Amino acid sequence: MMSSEKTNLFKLVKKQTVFKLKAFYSFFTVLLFIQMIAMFFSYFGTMTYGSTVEYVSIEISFFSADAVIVFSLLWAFITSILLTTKAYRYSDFTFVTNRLTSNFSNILFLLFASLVAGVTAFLSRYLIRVIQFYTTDVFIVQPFVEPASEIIIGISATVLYVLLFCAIGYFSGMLVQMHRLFLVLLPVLYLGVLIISDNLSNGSVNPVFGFFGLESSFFMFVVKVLLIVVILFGSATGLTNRLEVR
Amino acid sequence: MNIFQSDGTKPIYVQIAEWIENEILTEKLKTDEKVYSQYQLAEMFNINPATAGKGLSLLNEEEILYKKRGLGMFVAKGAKERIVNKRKNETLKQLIAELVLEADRLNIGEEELFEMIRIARFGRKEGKK
Amino acid sequence: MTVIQCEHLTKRYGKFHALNDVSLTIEGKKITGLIGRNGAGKTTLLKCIAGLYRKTSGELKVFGENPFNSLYVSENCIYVSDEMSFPATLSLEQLLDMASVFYKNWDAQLAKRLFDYFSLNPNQSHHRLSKGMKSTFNMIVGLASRCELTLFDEPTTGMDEAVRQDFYRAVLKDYLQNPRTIIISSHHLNEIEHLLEDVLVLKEGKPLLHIPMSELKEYAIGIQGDSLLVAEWCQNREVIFTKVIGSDKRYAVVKNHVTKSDIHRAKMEGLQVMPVSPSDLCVYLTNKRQGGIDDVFRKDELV
Repeated sequence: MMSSEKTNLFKLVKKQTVFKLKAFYSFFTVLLFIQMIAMFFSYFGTMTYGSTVEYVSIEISFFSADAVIVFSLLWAFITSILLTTKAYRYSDFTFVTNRLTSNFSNILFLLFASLVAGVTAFLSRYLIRVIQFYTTDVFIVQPFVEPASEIIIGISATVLYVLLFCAIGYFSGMLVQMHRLFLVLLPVLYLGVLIISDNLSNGSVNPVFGFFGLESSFFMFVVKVLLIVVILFGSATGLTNRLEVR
Repeated sequence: MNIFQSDGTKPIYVQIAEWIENEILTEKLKTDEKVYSQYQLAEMFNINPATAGKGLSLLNEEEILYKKRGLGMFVAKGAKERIVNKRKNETLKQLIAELVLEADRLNIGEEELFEMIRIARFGRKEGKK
Repeated sequence: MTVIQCEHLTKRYGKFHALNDVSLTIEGKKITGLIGRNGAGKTTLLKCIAGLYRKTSGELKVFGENPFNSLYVSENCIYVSDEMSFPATLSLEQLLDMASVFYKNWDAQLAKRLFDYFSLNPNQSHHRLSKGMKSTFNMIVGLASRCELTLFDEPTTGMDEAVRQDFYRAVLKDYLQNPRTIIISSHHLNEIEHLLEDVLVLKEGKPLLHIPMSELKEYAIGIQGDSLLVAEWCQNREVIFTKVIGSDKRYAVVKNHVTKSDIHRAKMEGLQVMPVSPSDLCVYLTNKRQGGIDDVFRKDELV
């Protein structure tokens, strides 16, 4: 009986994930929208440096697709929180589910969402460059396209960052579902940790960000992110396994 | 104890039983013929099949229907006579009891009561002519 | 075959006992009516059975296992109520498709036919439906799922008269073709009387009665007539309800432990003897006091 139960679980999670991919498509249209807005802001350059010597004037603009990535991270965080709200959670119970499959299918959905968001956010830099190339007279200094290995690492890193924010959002959202108090407690906690670690770091990079950002070995970076993601998703699932549908 | 004989609504299963009895009386259902199943009755009368089943059981107990395992309920031999007897002895008796009760309430004596019955019968006979 | 088994089931919110030491058994392949006042515990009981609520203490077994987080129970049980939530982004047609994926016994043809019969728009979103149409759609999902255990929690909210009658007929017809265990909780017992095999009456979190419908109809009798006579007649009997009519008449509802001669005697004394409809009876049984609303408006005497 045990093995048939496990296959039932597996099949159900698959069905639910497909169901959610169809039902939650609007999240992706929102993602598209905000990425376009971010690209719009990036169009005008993050930093401009101008100089005039005799009859020659130079204008150097620095462009970065960071805005797109930041917006995507924000999107991931908010989307994950939304999945934990009653409206979304309860719709699983109208059909066939248990709390385990509900969480698993949410996590799978977020995995897919991270992939999509990460890839599109990273590749947006090329889109910006292409648009710049065709719409202005710029002379692009940085190579137009990086070597493939860097692209792959870049995409992977972005996807992992998005996934990390998904996990944080999901975990936070679930805690709030368990007790309303977390709605106040968590923002205070998060900001508090950031501020304190900032003060303690004496001017250099905030250790919370540095934990990931300063990691020189890509392999270790992947391990760190995945470990934390697993812990966050796992705790969210485990802690809310007794949540009622009121 | 069933008190509903003439005091308003009869239990549904009794009404079902009486309907089947009427079908037997008017020979729409003949001896050894299969009667409707509880599911068919449920659909026809828009009731729960268990209720219909109770009506069938009632008739089975009164030996108006008999059961063939796995096949259903059938009209028993002599069912028609049994129904007529039952109605005569129970229903008619009940009506007479009520007649007497009402008469007593209005302080109508035996003579006057019989006279009224005679007139009623006469009126019916006149009507039939 | 027992489908639902409760033993000392309790559901507590702080000090309030929504379900208070409930022990009962519900057999399979029957239509049972769940009756009770608001707050009696009907929805709580159904949601515990469906695995939506977690019991506080006691035993609850549905299909032999604890329904909370049970996949087997979720697959074979559907809870239909006006709280059923569907994703806002899918159309009604898509929702029906989704349901067919989850429920192995789903009858797509029945769903489509009912859908067309009630003139629902396949492209509309569930959010935009009126209350009545929502109930209708939820009912269609409930019926077409053909779940072994189907729970209807006040399924006719917002439905107009014609749709309600159609709904009851649809439940009966589908039940006849595919017998399963159905529990209907409703405030309109008089409307669903004919559908029910058993009745379960809840009062303040506890089961008060759990008997066949036919027994409920003969559970009590009503006596009406001169106040003194009625009072005398009611002595040594279990009085369920009583009220004053006019200036000197009284109506009393008494448990039906009476013989034919008792009735005869009552009639001889000029009292009226009549049956008590299940709907009225349940109202009286679940009353907190023996009197009625008239007592609120009584100025002088204390009843």
